[in-house]
Amino acid sequence: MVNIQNLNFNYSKHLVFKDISLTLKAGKIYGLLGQNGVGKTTLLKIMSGLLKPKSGSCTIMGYNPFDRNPGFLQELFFIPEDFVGPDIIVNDFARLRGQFYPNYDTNKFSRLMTDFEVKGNSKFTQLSFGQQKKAIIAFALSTNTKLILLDEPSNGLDIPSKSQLRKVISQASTEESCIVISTHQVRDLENLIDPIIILDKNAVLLNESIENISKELSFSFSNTPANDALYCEATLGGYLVVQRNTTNQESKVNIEALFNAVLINKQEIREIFNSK
Amino acid sequence: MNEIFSSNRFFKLLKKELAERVPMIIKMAGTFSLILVGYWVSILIFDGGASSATSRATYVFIATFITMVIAPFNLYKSYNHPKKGIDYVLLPASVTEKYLSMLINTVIILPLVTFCAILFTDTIISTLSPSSFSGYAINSVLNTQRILESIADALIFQQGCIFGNFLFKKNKVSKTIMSGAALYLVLALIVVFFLTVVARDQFINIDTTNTHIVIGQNSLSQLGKLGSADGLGSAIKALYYLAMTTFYVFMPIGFLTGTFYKMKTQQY
Repeated sequence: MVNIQNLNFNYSKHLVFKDISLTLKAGKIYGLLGQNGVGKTTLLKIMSGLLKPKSGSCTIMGYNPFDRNPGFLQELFFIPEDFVGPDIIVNDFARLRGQFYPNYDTNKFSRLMTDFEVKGNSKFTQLSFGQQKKAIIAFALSTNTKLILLDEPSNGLDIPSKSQLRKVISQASTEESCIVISTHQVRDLENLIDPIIILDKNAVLLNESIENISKELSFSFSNTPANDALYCEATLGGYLVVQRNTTNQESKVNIEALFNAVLINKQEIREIFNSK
Repeated sequence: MNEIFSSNRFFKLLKKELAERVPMIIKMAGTFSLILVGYWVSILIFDGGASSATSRATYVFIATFITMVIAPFNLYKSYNHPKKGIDYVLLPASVTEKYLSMLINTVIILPLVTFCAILFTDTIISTLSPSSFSGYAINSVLNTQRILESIADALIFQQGCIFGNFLFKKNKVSKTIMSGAALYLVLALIVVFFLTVVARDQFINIDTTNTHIVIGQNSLSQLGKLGSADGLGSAIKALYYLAMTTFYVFMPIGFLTGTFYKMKTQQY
């Protein structure tokens, strides 16, 4: 679905990606994690054709995204973090744009709008930021495109909407589609994103499925901090410990702990997953 | 699938663009028509004299020209906006289709609607109140030669504005005006340099001939009559033709090509 090879990108003197390679497959919901400024949004923008790589290649479904061919655009939907809707009625927005997407489903849009409790007969400008975001997410999922890129989709959503979001995204995922979600709010999307991609300055630190992560790392609670822990975090009544999995018993991956463990032990994590 | 141009997709796009921009188009056409109504009401209130059809026809041209100039900034101001522009650039249509649709809306539809709306308003008022609005502006406006010359000049100016709208991300109007002024200043300096240094002798000779040059007040295209003037040296004639070609051919092509290039390569 997405094939990035030796990609380099910089904003004038600020280097963002140096020779990164990444492959994303259909049928998965990728979680794109990373600290502020590592290039999560930039990567999504390169994948959607909004930015042009300085060198290297990014190929999506055989297309070069920056060519912005209609055939590519009708199979892609990108929702930016701070989506600003135009000054038109939401239903008109969906009707006028939906005709450009061959698999657009009007009924699905109406259903999702009802699920999200957003009034489709209001103008975007009359809706709150969270409601605008829900409306565009409803539209994005109704287009049934093969690649959906969501930049911080849970930002601005209230608690019930976050659980709705998890539900609708998991329902939208099919064997042919690939969803990439960039987020800081990993707890909002836990149990949804798999595989996990963790970006570091200029590079990809980790791109692994939850299954592989739980094979290689163990996540446990302990009364005392472990000496050989990759990461240890004090919690109520003990410690959350991330260690190498030496017992072959799989544990539930705590994405937040994983993220911190990866950031602290970059080299070791690379060795663990590269030696598989 | 045709990735460059599909008529089906293009008409869908045009329909979408029109549907979204109709309120703005009506607002602009309505504003200029209301100004004419206001003018008529002021004549009635202050008991002013009758307004001639020619002066109102001039207003029609000025209003249409203003509409042409502000159309790109009004209808497509957010195309290269880092956030608002994303929605449009990722719409599944080719750059060619988006470009043509943008040109149709800014060059034809908005100015034409404004032009017709003002003329319609003028015709109604002239019929209702012939003592205030003498004659019909439509009769003066429909002078084909004048229309063609005015449209040609306005179109070139508008192409520059369309390009400016895509070239600049912030303060588009002021930057476009300043860049336009700078461009004309540079061209004027080149012409002056040519006349006073390169073809100085021929330029001085003009003084000694009985050539009388009058540039019409209606249109820059009246400069075309200069080419047939007697007594002008070949260098000056060449400069004149070069200037005219630059103004009427190179600049519009440059603006149109530049706009297309910016649309195609804009990064967000």
